[in-house]
Amino acid sequence: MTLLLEAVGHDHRDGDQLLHALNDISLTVDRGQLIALVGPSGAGKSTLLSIAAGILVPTRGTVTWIERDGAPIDISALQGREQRWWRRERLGMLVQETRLISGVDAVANVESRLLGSGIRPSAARRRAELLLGDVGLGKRMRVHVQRLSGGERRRVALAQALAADPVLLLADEPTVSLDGDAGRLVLDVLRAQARDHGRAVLMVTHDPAAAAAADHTLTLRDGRLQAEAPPRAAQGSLRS
Amino acid sequence: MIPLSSLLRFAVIEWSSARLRTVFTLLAGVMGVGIICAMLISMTSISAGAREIMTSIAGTAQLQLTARSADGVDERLVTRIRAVPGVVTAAPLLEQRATIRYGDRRVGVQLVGVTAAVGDLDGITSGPLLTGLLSVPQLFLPRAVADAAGVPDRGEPVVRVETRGLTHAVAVSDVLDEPVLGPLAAAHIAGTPLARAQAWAGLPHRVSRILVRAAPGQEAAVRTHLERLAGDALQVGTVDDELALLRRASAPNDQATGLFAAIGLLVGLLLSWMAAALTLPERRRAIIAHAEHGLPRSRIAQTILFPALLLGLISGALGVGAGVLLTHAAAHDAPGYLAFAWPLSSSQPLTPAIVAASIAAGVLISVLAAALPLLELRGDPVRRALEADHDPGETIAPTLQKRFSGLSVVAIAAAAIIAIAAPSLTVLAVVLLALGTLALIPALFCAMLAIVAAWPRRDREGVSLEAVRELRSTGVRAVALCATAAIAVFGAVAVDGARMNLLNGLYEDYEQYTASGDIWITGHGDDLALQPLLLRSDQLADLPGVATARAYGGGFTDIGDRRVWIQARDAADSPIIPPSQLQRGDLAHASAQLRAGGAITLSRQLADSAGVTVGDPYPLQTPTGRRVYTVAALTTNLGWGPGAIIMPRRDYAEAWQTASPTAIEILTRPGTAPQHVIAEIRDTLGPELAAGVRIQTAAQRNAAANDVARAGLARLRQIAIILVAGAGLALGAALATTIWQRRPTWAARAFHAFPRRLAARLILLEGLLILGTGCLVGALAGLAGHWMLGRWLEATTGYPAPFSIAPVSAAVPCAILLLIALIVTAIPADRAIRAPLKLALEPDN
Repeated sequence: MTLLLEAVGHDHRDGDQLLHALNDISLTVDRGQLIALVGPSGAGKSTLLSIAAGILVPTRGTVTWIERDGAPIDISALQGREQRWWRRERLGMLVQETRLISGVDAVANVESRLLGSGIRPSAARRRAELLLGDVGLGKRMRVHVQRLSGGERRRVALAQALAADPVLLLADEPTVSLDGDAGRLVLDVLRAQARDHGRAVLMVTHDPAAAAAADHTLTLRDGRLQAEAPPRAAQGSLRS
Repeated sequence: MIPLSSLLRFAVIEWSSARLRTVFTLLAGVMGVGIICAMLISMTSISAGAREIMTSIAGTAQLQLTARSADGVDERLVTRIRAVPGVVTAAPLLEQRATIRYGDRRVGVQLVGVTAAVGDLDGITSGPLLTGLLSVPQLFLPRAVADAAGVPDRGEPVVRVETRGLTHAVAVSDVLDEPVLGPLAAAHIAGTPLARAQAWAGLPHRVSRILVRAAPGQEAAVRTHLERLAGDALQVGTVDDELALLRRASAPNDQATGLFAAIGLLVGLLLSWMAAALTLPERRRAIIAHAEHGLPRSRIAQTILFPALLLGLISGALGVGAGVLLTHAAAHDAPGYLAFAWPLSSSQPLTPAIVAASIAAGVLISVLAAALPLLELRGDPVRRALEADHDPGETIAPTLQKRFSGLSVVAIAAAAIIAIAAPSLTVLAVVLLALGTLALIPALFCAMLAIVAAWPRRDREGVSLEAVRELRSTGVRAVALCATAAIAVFGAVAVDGARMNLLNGLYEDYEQYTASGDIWITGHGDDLALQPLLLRSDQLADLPGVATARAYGGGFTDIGDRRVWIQARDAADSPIIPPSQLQRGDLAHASAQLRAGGAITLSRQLADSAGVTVGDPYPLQTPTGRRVYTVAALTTNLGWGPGAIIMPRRDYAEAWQTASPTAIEILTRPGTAPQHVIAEIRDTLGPELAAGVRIQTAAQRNAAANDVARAGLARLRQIAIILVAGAGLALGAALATTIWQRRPTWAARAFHAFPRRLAARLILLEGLLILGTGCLVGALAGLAGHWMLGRWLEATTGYPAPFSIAPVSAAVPCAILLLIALIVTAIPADRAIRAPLKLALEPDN
């Protein structure tokens, strides 16, 4: 199963001016791979992630998901029921702004994602505990989320994203505003999700340490993919 | 569908995550439902109680013959009625208004004289109870009467039964409770054998009503026979006709309480909306998160609405309890004036229909308030959230303000058109006005903020600008608070203003009605002077202090579904028509016509329903046949809802074949003290006759009547105060919560050395801007509602209610609401601005 972006471009208007946010982007993310997309602010990283998720429709090019049986799904053409199926059954998203429910513990937060899909409360609770254990929150799962650290909350959000067992995981700045240890823990989880659970993981990051943790790093500058670089080279690109 | 168990778990998570909002929604629902439930109980209690009494007395009878004369008809007529083909049984009754006196306390009751024939109709609860009632030489009292008169349960206490100017000492055999007497235990009636009732009333062998049961299928034929037999002396109808008459009489009261029920619903809805607004951004985020995870819209809606539904059910159930408490605290008595014409009950039936309607209202309040964030489900919320350059938070978009303002203009215009073109629909117009006011609040509130921001000021510390900024950023909840204050004040000002107008109109009417005499003699508890007395005016005419003594006559007559009050005035009475009550016609000319005889005045509603006006002939059914009178003038309803007629006493005595006055009015000689004349009258009547009547100065009679009027309208005032005080408490608590939620901001301000006194000023200014705007808008709209209701009272119901504005009465609800809300806010606000500095550093979820 593979995420395939071919010659993707995206334009948007700023007043009278037409801006080319993305140009001729082609990339693939296979199962078991953790790909990092790096680049300076305004390079179009988050836009590309939204296009990959099917939230934004590209102006040019195609975004395709290849199923296990080889059947292609045109993600950018999905609408309504099919779009919801895609988000529910295939896609997991870790966004910058964690949308946790305050006043309740981590388990309840993950449970609330599962209950909506029709799972019974007892099963939802067991699965939530399992997922929180997977992201390293086994001992903190009963703590109210407002008492968790930033990194712990990010991992709760990650457990929510993984609740429906998605094959494609898209992460937007997963380590932003986290200290070294907290960021490392999040990256460990992402790496484990790719390697051990066979998910295709695409993350957008500013963080050199995050880029270093990826299998491959892609650099985006001025809306164009510069090169596919090994992790070390990408770190240099970020520093520059 | 999400399984129920999962939805329940959702609800628990939702409530745990927003405890304050949950508690507020619950309290808002309880308050709204409480008012609605109390109003529904109040509206149904009069007719339901009367129906219970009437059913208990009439049993299975379908038809009835009612005497047109207060002196009743000969009881031998019953034998002839029983002989009519198709009549299964007929039972005579003598019903008289009476008072039960024990010590200094008097209670008005309907004295019902019955025979064993009532048992054939399964009436007066039948069986052993009826046997006991007919065989015991003393009197049984229902629990409600005994409690009201303070009659003890034990020791055969002796009470005095006062009716038609006669008084009798009677021992009470027993006080009967609900298990024995059923619904009659709450009724203000006293049952006794017919012969005894006739003796007490001085009406031997007379009956006032005959109940008839017809054989199945023969009701119509029997009715035709009875109508032939009844002639002019009796009116034939169904037993249910009494209820139709009562419904007509209590309609204005029902509509006023119905209006309060609608206002209660609005207040509950607004308070719930306010509670929902406390966590609006969180709910929007939750919806976006659900959509991100591909949850179908229907399921997202379920996750939002199910907890609200459950909360609505709980608040509905608790609200029913609150409504029952409110009923007992503020709306427990039926309006006393109705008791002059119908037997009433003090029971407050909580029927399954009221419970269902109240709980439905609770669910509606909760679900509607929670449904607001579901607007996010339009289109693709995930994409919209991505494209938005900032969280919409709680600001109110200008387009939304414009739309609401447009709606407001439409609603207010519709309200004005309805109030002017169709006054009978004014209650609907007032509800539309309330909705229009609500819709105008967002624009008015934002305009108020703009004015404060632009106002030239000496506020160097910038507190007012800071307050405006804060209120703009929390626009939704600020508007919800403002709207709640507005609608509570609106309801109180509108209804209480109309109540004051009506009271003033009634006071003025009654003062002119009694102005023809310095001293009045009436039966006890007979404020409308309806019961014939065994006195003659010429007995008193020669007393040294008496200039003139004149007979006054009065009673009820049924015209269609109206039980109309007849005032029969002596030709020498001055005024003979209360000048302030004249609506059409010339006062001097009309008075002269009445004095000459053959003319009457009609209340305008009666004239309108008959299609007659001044100068037209008006046929009136009397015990001596149909008589035609000339309409001399049109008046208000003289304070009696169904309508009133003033006619010459001579004509009345002739048509109703009665020489007995229902009151005697006395003009004292100049320089004679009324109390001296009263003493002379007592001496002349002797202790026995004097004890049976009430001798009052005109001022005393006015005061007693004014008490009845005030009591009849008291529940409106009580509910208005409860509404405003409850809203003040809820608003204070909501303000306190919003201030408490901002503790990290207060801590951050303190960190940057923002003085506490300025923080306190900021809070006070925010509170005053929100509540002050709400109160101001509510009071202004309330005055418009007051005008509409006043117009409705005069034009539709015919009550005397001259419109006048008392600015103080509009200011009082505002003051109560502001004071309570600010007091409730004070301590939490003080604690909030002293929040520990570490709160400033805590991450925001």
